[in-house]
Amino acid sequence: MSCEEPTTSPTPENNITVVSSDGKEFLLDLKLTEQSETLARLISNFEYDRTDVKKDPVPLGNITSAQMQKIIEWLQHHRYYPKWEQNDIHYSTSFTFETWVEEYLNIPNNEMFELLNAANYLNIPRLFSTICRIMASRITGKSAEQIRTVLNIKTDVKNDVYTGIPIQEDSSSSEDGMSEISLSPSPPPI
Amino acid sequence: MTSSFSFFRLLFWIISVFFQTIKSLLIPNIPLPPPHFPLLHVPYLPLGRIIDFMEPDALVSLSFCSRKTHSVIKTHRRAPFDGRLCVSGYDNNLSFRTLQNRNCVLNVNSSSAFITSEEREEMEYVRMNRLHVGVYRSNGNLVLRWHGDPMGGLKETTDYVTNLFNIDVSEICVFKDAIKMIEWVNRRQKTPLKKVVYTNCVIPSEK
Repeated sequence: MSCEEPTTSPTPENNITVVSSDGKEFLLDLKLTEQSETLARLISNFEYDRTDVKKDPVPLGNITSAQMQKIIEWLQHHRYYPKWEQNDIHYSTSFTFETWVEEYLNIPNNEMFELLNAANYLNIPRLFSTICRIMASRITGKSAEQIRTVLNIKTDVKNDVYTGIPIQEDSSSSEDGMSEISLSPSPPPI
Repeated sequence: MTSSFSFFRLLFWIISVFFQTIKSLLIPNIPLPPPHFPLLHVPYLPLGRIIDFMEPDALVSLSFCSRKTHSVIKTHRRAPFDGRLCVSGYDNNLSFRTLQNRNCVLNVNSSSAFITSEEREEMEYVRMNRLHVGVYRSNGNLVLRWHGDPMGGLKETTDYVTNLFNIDVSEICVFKDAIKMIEWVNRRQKTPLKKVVYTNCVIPSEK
């Protein structure tokens, strides 16, 4: 996607300050905050886009400074992209990303999880959707055991130590966690 | 004064080296576990989106991981599938077919079919409709190793996949026992079949 970048220098009037959970302050251009629905709504509600309104720092208690830096990098890159629409989600399996995005999201799984949570909190649909698609592609082609390792899923089926075959469970075992609860009261002690 | 200071510095250095050595001997260099992406801790909306972006065979693999992942797929999957679900009695598989391509979900192999030592090693026993079956990947495709008649395996697999994705079979590809297969599909669902393909070729070994 090609985007022309007009050369406008940000003035103090069109900035807001956000504070990460570890107390670090970031100066954000209002143009960048348009990509985050959470920040855009906040700015609109407090009328921070007006020059005569005093702008208090916005605390972002769920986002660390490292995550915030990463997010600002994303917002800067997509500064002049067209606004994200819900119709932009394509579920086709053949999908490619631009090289910058691939490099940007070439991070370990745990960092990806934190970034996804931050993108979800700030409601940045383009970033959010891209992370989801990349995580889906990281699972593709893996066996159940490999998926358990990547996604830290604990199996709830007991396997035989020697054969690896799941042990046949008793039919009264808790399929949905309900059968362990007895509906009839226990007999009173004699 | 200077000599005593340098002596203490030397003594401090010797003590620190001594403790470093003891520490390295006591604590072995255990490699750290790989970083995880805890999928089941992801909030509702992104979790649904990740599941929507996953391919059908990856979803089946994920459903084998635990009962919780199975139920998460059932409840969160919303996106439409690309193509119609086709059950092929000819090459024993389930796939999503469009006019252009075929996206295989699961193949069913009989227990007598050839399997490489690597595939045998990789094979994992998973739970499917209260049965335990061996599953492995061959040439990128998910393969189920079925003990008994492969047609029985195909029917079990169809029940599992249609239940997981909450969809009905739209298309069947029949080779022999065509009427039985059409009757079976019509019995198990209310939605009528959209297409039946009759394959009139004979496998050389069965001539």
